Amino acid sequence: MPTYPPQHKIIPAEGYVTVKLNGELMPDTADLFHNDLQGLLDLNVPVIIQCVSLSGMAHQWIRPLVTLVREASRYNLQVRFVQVSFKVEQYFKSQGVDSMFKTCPTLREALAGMGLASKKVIDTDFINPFLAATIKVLEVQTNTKAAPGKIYVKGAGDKFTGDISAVIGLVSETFTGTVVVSFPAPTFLEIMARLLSEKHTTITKELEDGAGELINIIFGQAKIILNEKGYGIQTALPSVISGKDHTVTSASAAVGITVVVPFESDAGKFFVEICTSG
Amino acid sequence: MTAPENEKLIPLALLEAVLETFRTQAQTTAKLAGPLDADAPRASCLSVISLNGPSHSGTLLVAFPAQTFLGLLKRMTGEIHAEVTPENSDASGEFLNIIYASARTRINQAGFKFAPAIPTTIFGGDIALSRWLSDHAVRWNFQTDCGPFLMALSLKKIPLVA
Repeated sequence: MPTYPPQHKIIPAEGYVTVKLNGELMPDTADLFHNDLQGLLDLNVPVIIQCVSLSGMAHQWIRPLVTLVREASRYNLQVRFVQVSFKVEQYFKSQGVDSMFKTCPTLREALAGMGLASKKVIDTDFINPFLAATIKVLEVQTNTKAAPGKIYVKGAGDKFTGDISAVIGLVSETFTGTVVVSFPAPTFLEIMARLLSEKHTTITKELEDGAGELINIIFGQAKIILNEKGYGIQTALPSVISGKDHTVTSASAAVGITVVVPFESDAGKFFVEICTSG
Repeated sequence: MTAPENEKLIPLALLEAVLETFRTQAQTTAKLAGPLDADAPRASCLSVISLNGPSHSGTLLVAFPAQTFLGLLKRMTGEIHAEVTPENSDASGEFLNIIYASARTRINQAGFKFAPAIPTTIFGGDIALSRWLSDHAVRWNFQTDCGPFLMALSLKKIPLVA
């Protein structure tokens, strides 16, 4: 059994083989990788280049990677670079190999593209407790009746803006993610007026705390239900951000799935965004 | 289960990771600047990541004014951007990801067992951070030759169940 230097590791899997690249790839290890290429291609299965732990590479590594992609193509084998960081992606671009190195944000997506796995679908068991908690908390705490609109998966071009957002992280044994509740100013001010029984015309620092409190309660309610179902979620502390027409994005959009739930309420529109990976 | 004692290591590891990250990724030296103004700082791009372990949970946030962010981005990628966009704002999360990943190794060596997490990035013209930062978090103001930026850490102990 050959041993490999820690900068790359070849891991055969069911129906494909993974090449895991680690850290900053040094010039002197490129030849070692090049020597392993033929053995890799002899496996005659699609290749996943797992880049989640890859922080950068010397230019000497470009050649064997190009050789791998070209040779694989001759054998009719697909190669996908998975979980490539922004920096490495920029490096590929600077080396002119970005169109040759096909990247995928997630392993699942790469395998789905190769016909080796089904595409990820929304887990309604996970989403629904957040929707139920949002409706219940707004009704109980602020006497606001809210109804969710059509749930959909956020695409790269979709942009939602809010004036005040509360963000809280999710961590469980199997995935990580984020829940964001984002309000336009008029909706938020109306909800706060109902909560505090006093009118405000602008979002003050005191009112920002209200957004954090609301998401804390919503998250707490949803967590109880989810943990009863065995999700094993841990809590984090909420962050509250305000600013006219800000946009929320999540890195999980690159590694997992982001679901947006637009809400209509008698206080106005708002939206909940749930991002998960894993 | 007992919680690790040396929780002061967490901010120290994060501080070291910040300095190292900006040195290697953006070829700039981040220096701790003086105390922050009482007013909430304004940013154009910020990223938040959750810290979760069996004994502690919290949030780590990094916030950049537009000019600082675009300067750091130029150093990181060599590309010149005139404004913060959905595409280039990813780099803010990337910075935070690298900082957290680097600090997490050291933090977990001390037994904290922090889980991997993913950052959320928020961008807009003029973002204010809530009072939450003053009340519940340690804030650090950094100065670089691209401009200032801010990092904040909130951390709470999770009560242990017997």
